Amino acid sequence: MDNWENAEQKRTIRTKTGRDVEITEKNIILVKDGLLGFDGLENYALIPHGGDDSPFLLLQSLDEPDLAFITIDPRLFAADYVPDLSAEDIASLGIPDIAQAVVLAIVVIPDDPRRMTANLQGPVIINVATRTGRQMISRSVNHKVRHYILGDPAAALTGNA
Amino acid sequence: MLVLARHLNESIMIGDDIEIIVVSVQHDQVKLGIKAPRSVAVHRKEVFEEIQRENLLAAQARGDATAGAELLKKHLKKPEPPRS
Repeated sequence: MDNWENAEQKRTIRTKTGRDVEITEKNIILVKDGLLGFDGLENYALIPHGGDDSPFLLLQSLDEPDLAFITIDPRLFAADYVPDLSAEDIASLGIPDIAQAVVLAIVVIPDDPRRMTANLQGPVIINVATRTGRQMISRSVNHKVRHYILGDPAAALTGNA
Repeated sequence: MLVLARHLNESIMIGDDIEIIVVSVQHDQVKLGIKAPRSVAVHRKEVFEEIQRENLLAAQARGDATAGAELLKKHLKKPEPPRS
């Protein structure tokens, strides 16, 4: 990352989906220790994803072109979501408190996108000032690894019966 | 790996502020009490494994993000249900 002369310097990367995207230094995030299960892969770019006005951001690995994660600000569909993190976790990013961090949830979009889920138990917390982030674990039992973004399909079925 | 034998209600210390106590032993299940400062994160290993699995699933999912985005935009635009 030290080869960037200034924030305006541009570079084109190809996403996992084969799209060429122009990014600047501002798009780049260092994910400390990598995401769980993807140790050692720390360099990512965060870029808009999913068409015009899409709420999704693609966390595209800069180490592995075929590795990318769709993410979202979980407060869009869970307005009162605040991950319950230890002070040690928060301090590891150099932010005084969680309110000053960008919080992203990793999304799984299955073949039937109506059943898409977001991981509220393992959010990615980002310090925007330093562009570093880390995947952390929320201690709240209400924060599920698989939160249905459009509402629980099973609940919707029984609700209409 | 350090292996220690402990009886019921005995404990071990990790550093000077984390204490792990054997609270009960029944068949093959051991209940552990953990006294640690709020600042220390304590998680069951399964939680890590579950998040790892979900990350893997997210990396492999082939669903249409544009379709998902459209569905969510529609979902968020839904008017509030009328209040009685």
